[in-house]
Amino acid sequence: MELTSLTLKEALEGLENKKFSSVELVKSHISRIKKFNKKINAFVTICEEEALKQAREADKLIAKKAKNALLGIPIALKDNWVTKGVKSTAASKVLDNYVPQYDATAIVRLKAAGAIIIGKTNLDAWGHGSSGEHSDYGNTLNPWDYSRVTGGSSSGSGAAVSAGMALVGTGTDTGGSIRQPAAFCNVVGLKPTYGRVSRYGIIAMASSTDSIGHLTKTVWDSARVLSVTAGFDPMDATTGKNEVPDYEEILRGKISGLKIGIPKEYFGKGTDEIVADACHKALKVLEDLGCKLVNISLPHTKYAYPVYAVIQTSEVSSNLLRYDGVRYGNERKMFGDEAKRRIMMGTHSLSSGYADKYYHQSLKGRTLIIRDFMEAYKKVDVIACPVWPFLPFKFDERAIDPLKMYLSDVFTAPANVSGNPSLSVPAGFSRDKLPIGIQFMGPNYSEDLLYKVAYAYEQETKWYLEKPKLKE
Amino acid sequence: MKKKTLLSVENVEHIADLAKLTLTQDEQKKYKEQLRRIFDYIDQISKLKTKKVIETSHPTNITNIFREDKIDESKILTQEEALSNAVKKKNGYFVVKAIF
Repeated sequence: MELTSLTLKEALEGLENKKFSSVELVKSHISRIKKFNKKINAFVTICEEEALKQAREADKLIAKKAKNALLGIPIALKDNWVTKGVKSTAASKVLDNYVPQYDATAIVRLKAAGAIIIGKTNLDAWGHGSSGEHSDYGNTLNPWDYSRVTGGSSSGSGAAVSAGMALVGTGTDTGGSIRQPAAFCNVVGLKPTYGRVSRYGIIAMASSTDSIGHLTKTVWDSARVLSVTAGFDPMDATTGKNEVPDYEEILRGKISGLKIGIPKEYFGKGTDEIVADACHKALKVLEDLGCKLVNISLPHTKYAYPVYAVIQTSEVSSNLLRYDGVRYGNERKMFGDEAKRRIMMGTHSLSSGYADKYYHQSLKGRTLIIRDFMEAYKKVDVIACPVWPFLPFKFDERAIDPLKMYLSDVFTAPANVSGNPSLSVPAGFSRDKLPIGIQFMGPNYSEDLLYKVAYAYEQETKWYLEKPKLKE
Repeated sequence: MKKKTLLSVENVEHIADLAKLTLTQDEQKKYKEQLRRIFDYIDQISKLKTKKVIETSHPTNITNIFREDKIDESKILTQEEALSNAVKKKNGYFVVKAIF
């Protein structure tokens, strides 16, 4: 059995039925990392020794019939997740030597559930990017085509899960950073509702849109991880006190009769025909399962990106001001080009004489965009649309022009502006075998509903069974 | 009303100063051009009708989250831990550059 091609669910069952041990599972993933990471560059740190130690502990617990939700499972953490005793760089040279004194709340919960951290994954430095090309530690290559980007900013987690180097990769989604690499790498990516998962110990990018999620091979796998990470945290006042539902139970439910909204603004002339076609085919599958497709409009869509850009860069400029090279990290001159540009944009948007025109106008625009979604959810249960307007692109194709790169986020940023959850799931391939994703968005705290729709679709299509053929 | 966003090198210097960034002359020129293009694009938000619209600073509308004013000892770093990442330290203090 090839242990690295298992889903999380299969791995948990295999461990429970003693088909293999956690040590074997961890070893097989680490040897795959060693074989392919030189090329793909998904990991910036590998925690081999500690992971094997944890795996031996997990095997002892499994022998005693312990049933923790992720017991013995090797996972990879995006390197902007603060890990106690393990270098956490956010892929920026500013934090090249930063070894945190504490764990993020989400990590505390994952560890308590028995998950084993096998390494830290690459990203666009600080989460600033849609392609992985802004990492200070080099590009991550797309396992499906090494000449193309993985999408970003959770580039390493996307590649790692897709290439069988980890069963789960964690991420952060501020404007699409989980859903984009999920779509480009043929994996499932969840951006939860803002505040569903604690931000404590996650290196802040834009505090009012940062959403803490993960990338997995299947929808069930995603639901299992969320059931561990979700919930109120006294260390993050923006986490909601809403109960965490039994996602695994709900996702098996019937979807017939559900109304799925198709926003016309997301299928316009800016969207590649191949991508739109794949989404329409996916919608047809859902229609055949008894869903009702409803054409809707989100009239402020074209303003969502510029509104997002102002809010995000304003918060970036404020959050990155803490890096003074005194308490930890290096001096500010170590910031890369992209971080400097965003700091400059945000500082300008907030500065005296411009704040009304940019920052405050954007906060009001945000209200209008939220109203669009609320109106839509009176008519439909979920909204379905593409994740990207185009297929995975080649390195440097968009990086040369910052504005062109920023506009990659047009379909993902709206959910960050509104705070709503969104789930990206594989929706097939182009003729050249490049992955395409579709996203399902819903009202706040509707992750269970999104899982249900996505699971039903996944059971019909099983795109996750397709694996990239890796070259060393 | 001017149509295009006008950013001078002085503007860029001013922004960099507020942001505590030291830019080379080449960077100043580059960011001046790039920021001009980006804000030309962003300027379309002025068309949003926002006269009677309230601002949203937080998307899930949680308000007034308070906690007891008690110290959670499990979250306290020891002096040694707090200083563990400092580039320069002396007698249990962070060493910083002189301000004046």
